[in-house]
Amino acid sequence: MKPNDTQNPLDQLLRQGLDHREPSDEHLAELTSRIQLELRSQTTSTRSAETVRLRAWSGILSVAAALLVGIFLWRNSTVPPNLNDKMVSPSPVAAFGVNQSLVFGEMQRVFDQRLAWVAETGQDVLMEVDSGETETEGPLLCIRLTLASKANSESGEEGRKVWEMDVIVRNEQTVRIGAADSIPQLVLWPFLTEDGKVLVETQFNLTVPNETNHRSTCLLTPGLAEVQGEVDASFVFSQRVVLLNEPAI
Amino acid sequence: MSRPDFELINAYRTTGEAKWLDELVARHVARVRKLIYPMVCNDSTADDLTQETFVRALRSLHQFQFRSEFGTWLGRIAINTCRDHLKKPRLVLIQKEGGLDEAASAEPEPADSVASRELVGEIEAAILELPLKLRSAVTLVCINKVEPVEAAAMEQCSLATIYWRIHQSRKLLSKRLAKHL
Repeated sequence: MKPNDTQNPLDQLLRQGLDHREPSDEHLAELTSRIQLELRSQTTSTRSAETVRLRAWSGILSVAAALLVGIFLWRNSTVPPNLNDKMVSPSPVAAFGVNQSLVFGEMQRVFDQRLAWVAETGQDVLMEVDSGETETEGPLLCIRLTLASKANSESGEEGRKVWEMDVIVRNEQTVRIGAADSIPQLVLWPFLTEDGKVLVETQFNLTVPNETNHRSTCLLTPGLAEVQGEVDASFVFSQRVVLLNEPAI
Repeated sequence: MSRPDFELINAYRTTGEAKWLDELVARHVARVRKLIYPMVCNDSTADDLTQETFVRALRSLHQFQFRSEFGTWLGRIAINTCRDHLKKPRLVLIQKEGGLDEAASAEPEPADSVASRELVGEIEAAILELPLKLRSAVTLVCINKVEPVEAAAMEQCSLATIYWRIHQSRKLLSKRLAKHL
């Protein structure tokens, strides 16, 4: 008996039975409209969302003091500002993500619960403040993306960190960052799986120091540093993720 | 003549206009829902998961590289969306027979209608008893007449695996529904 045997009596029974459950044309039309509206709202909110870019430590005076304290705490716990720092062994994972939930909570308060995500790289803090209500449910994640040059065993040159970014974002929230100055164009989407791992889809285009385009989908275990492999002959890209405690607001 | 899927996708990618998405949704919504329904056997859940499938597809549309038919790709997302949903712990509301809906209906149902409703109920119960992988194989190939090769692409497994899952499913379902065969 072939698997797709349309004359199979069991298959016929299943199909006839489930034909009774076919939605009516009206039901289907209603569902179609509902989905179309949902997709429109998703694309609109992405486009209308205002991406607020703050030049850290200079323009930050215009933001609430709580935000300043938050960023200070966050920076102390994450990335050294010098992009040319030598690549070192990953810092203890336990220290990564300690203050991020506090930062996110403070920022949410400042922006009246309209903060979609926050990212920090080098001297820049980026965030998206949505014009509408943002997702407030779901686990909060902190994802660190690191691009590093490879060590050269012949010349003895050590690998160096080229670019690093920490992103605080809720599960299943898409982060889209347009290219600006030294910041690459980036799209990131995390998805927490049933077994507690985090699937992260990442795409970025880096123009400095080299034109680099990378796209990856990887499954990360929270708390573990994971090198995800080569971007090209010169660079390696790694990601790590931690689940943050829900900020007390 | 309607434009092929890849033209609609490219048009959306180029212009960002929602009308191209609307057309993709209108074109595929019935098939996606039909794929999803047997996985959950519940109308409102099937509707929600159909919507979720399209939302996920939109989020990943920039990654779709036309290596398969758009419908196949969408089917894969639909099946994965169902699996994610079904793996979540959830509260199940079991409505006793003669519940509110039935009590509101004053007219007695014809005997053949009752019989067919019971049959449908048994079929759904039998499908829901199948393990998820067998259930999705039956849903695709036996109920929706998806070609096994396409089903294998959606399930991201080998053709032999699909054949085996269908064989196992039919064995279990035939036993469960023997009196109707």
